Amino acid sequence: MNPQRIAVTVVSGFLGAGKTTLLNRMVRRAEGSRLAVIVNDFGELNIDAAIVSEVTDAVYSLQNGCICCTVQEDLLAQLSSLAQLQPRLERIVIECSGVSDPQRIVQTLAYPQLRGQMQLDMVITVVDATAHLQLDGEYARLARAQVAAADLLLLNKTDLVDATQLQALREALGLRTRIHESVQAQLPDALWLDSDLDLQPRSLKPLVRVSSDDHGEMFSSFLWQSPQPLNVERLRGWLQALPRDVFRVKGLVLLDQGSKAHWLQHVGTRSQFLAATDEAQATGSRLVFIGRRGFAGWDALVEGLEQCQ
Amino acid sequence: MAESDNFSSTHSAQGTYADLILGNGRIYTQNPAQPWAEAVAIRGGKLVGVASLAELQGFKGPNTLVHDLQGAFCMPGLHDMHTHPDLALAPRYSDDLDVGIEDPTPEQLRASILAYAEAHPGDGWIYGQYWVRYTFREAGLTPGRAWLDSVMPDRPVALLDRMWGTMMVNSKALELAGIDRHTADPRNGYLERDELSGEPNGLMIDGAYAMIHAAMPPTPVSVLRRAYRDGVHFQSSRGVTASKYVHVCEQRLQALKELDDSGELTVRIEAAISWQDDIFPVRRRWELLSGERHYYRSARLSANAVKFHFDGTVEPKSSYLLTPWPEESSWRGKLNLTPEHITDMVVDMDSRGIRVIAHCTGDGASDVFLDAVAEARRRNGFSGVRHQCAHSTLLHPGNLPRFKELNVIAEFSPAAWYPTPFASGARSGYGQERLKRIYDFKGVLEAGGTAVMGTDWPVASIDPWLALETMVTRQNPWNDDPSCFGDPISLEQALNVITLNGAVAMGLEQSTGSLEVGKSADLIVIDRDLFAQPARNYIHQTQVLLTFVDGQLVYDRNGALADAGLKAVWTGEPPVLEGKAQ
Repeated sequence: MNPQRIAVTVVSGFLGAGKTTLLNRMVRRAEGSRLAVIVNDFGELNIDAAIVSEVTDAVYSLQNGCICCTVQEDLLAQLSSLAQLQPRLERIVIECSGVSDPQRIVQTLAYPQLRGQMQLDMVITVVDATAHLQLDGEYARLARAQVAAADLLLLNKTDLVDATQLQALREALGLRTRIHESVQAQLPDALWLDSDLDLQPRSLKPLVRVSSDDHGEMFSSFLWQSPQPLNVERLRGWLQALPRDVFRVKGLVLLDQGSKAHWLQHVGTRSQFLAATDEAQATGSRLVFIGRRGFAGWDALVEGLEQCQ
Repeated sequence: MAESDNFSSTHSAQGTYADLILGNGRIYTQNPAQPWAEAVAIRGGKLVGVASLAELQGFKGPNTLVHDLQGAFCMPGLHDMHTHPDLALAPRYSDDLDVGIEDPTPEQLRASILAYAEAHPGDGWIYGQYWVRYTFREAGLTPGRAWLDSVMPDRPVALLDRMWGTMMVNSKALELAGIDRHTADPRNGYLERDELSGEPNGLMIDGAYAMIHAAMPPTPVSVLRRAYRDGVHFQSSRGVTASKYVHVCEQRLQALKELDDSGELTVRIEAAISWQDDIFPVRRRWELLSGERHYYRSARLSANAVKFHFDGTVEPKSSYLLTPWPEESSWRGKLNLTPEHITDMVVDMDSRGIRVIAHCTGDGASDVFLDAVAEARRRNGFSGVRHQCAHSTLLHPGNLPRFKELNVIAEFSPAAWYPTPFASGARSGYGQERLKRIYDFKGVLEAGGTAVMGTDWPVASIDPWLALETMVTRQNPWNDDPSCFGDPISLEQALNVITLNGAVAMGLEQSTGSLEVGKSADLIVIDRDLFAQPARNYIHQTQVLLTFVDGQLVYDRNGALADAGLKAVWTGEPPVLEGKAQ
C-alpha cells in the first residue's frame, strides 16, 4: 500500500489451528524481502540453527533477510523500535496468542506513535476445520472474536473433514468473510504479499488484466484506471458491497472531496484511506483488484465504480 | 436528644476511675519496656493502666465495667497503610447500565440501552458495560457514534467493551466532553477517527476513556459512602484500627465525613488526595491542598496527604527501573512525571505539612523519589512529615539506609508477597534476579528504616491477617509448596510492622500503635495466641473477637459485652467482600 509505511500482517487463530505452520511458511517466503516476524515462542518455529546468522537481544536474524523475535509485553515499544531498523522493514508479521482477541493488537497498531510508520495490512485468522465447531464457552467466544476480526480466514485442515462438514463450517463462519481453504496452512502469496502489484498504467482501456506468474492458477488481478474523481460516500458504499470473491483492492484514488489523491486499501470488508504525497496528485484513479480466478463479476464492478464518479 | 460532645482538652474534668478494665488477658503491648501485661484500664478513650489486674484495682470504681478476657490474646490494632475500598466496591454499587449478556448482539445492546433509559428518565448519562466488537462485525455493523446515535441521539451514552480496550460513545457524549476533530490524542490512548475527515468516530481507545470520565458527573457520594461503610465494617471486624485510603477527591472526602458524622467511621483514616486525574477527576484539588482538606478533619479522619503515580506496573513493563527490563536492550519503563516536577512538588507539599505518598513500583522511581525528599530536607529541614514510598516492589540496595536517613516510610503493597498463580505470574515479569529481593521488608528494617504494609485491595486481598502470616513465611498460606518470595521477617518484626510502624506512618506514634499508658485504647482481642504455633496456615485463620478504637467498642463478634451494656457498632461475622483468595 503506501510505500512509506511498513505493512503489518496480524496472524490469529485458536490453539492448534496451524498458525505456526503458516508462520514457518512466511519466514521461508521472506527471501530477499525485509520481513520481521514476531512470534509467541521462537522455539516453536523450529528454525534450523544453521540458517540463523545473528542473534542480538533475542532477535534472530536469518540468512534470507528475515528477522524473528518473540512478542514482548510492551508491543507498542517493540514495534516502535522495529520501525527504526535500517534498512527499513517492508513488512511485519505478528502472531497473536491462541487464546486472545486480535483486536487488542489491531488497536495497538493504530496508536498515534505508530500510525505514521506502519499500517495494518490484514488480519489473517487460521481456522481449524476439524475443531472450530467443537469449541464452547469462553473458547468459543474467543474463536468467534478471532473470526470476526479477520480480513481473511484461512480455513485449514480441510482435507480432514467431509463436504457436509465443510459446508456447515462455511455457514457458521458467515457470509461476509473472505475464506480461503487450505491444507497444511498453505497461503497463496497473492493473498498476503502485494509487493509485486504495480500500478503502472498499461493501456488506455479502463480495465486490464494484470498478468503475474506468482498468482498461479487461483487468482487473477485487474487494473482499473480513470481520470475522473470519485465521490467518497458512493465509493465507500461500493467497497462495502464488494463480492466475496474479491480479496483485495488497492491503489490511488482521486476523491471529489478537495480533489485530493488518496491511497486506498481494501482487504476483506475493511477499507483504509490515506492522503497521498504530492507527486501522486496529478494523475487520476488507478486501482488493482485481486479476485478468485473464474470470478465473473468484473464488468459489474467497473459499472459500480463508474457510478461513483 | 443528641449526645453531648465530650472532647478532652487541657482543663477538662478527668474522672478517677476507669470506664472499662479488660483483665485476665495475654496482652502483647508492643512496648519494649513492658512487652506483656495481664490487664488494661481505659478512661475517656485512653489507656490509664497497663499492668496486672491486681495493680489496676485502684481504677475500679462503682461504674467501671470489668471484662474477663479469659486468657485471650490482646494486642494493638492493625494498620493497613494502603488500600482502596472505594475502587473495589463503588463500581458494584453504582446503578450503571449492566447489559448482563456475555456477548450481546447489537440488537440486544440496543434493547438494553432503551430499557435503561426508560427506567432512568431524564437527560442524564447512560454509562455502563459491556459490548463486544465481534457481534457488530458479525452483523455487518460498525460500532461507534453513528450506531449509538441511531439508538439514543439526545442523551450522552458511554459503554465499555468486554475487553476494556474500547469505550463507545455517542455524539452527545463527545459534545459534552468537548471532543471534536481538533482534539489531540492523549499520551496513553487515542480517539478512533474517520481517516478522511479526522472526525472522532465515537470509539475511545485505552487512556482516551479519561476524556469522557472527566465530562461525566462524579460517582455519587451515596455510592461512595456505602463502599467505604462496607470497607470499614470489614476492616474493624478484622482488627484494623487505622488505614490509609490512598486516592480521594472531594466526593470521597464528603462520603468519609458523612460516615464519620454518623459514628460509622470505625477506623482511623488518612485519605490521600490524588495529584493526577488518571483514576477519577479531582475537581477541587488545589482548594483541598490549600486548606479545604481541614474541613473534613476529626480524630478519625485526616486528609493531610497527597497521592502520586510516579511510575506504572509490572504487567505492561511500565515500572521505572534503574536498569533495563529482562530481555530488553534499553527499555527501563516510564516515569509519569519529570524528576523536576517531582522534586518541586515534594518540596512544596513538604512545606505545607502534606505527606507525599508516591506510587513507586520500580527501583528507578523510588530512587527519584528519595532524591526529591533529600532536596526537600535540604531546603525545608525536617518538616515533621514522613513521606511514604508506596508499593516499594523493588528497591535498590543502596537506597535501603536512605529510608531512615531521610525519614521516609517504606510501604510494601499489595500484600501478595508470596507465591500464588497470580503473584508468580504477574511479578515474574521483573525477572528471577529481581524477584529474589522483591518487597524487601528485611532490608529496610535491618537498615533501621520504618517498613509498613498495605493490602492495596482490590489488587490483593484486604484481609490483614493474610498479610501478617505471609510477612513471616513469604510462602503460600494455603498449601505446602516450599517456594518462597524474598526474605521472611520474624513474627515480632511483622507485628511491629503492622502496628507501631503503621502508627509512625500515620504520624500517630505518640497516640497509638502500642499499648502504653497515655495512648489511645486502640486494641484488639483475638481467638488465638499468635506465638503458639508455626505461622503458616495458622495466623491467617485468626478471628477477631473485639476491636476498640479510642476506647470505643467498634466490633464485638459474639456480642460478649452486650449484656454489660456496651453496644458495638458492628457485630457478627465479618462481611464477605471478596471471593476466597488463591
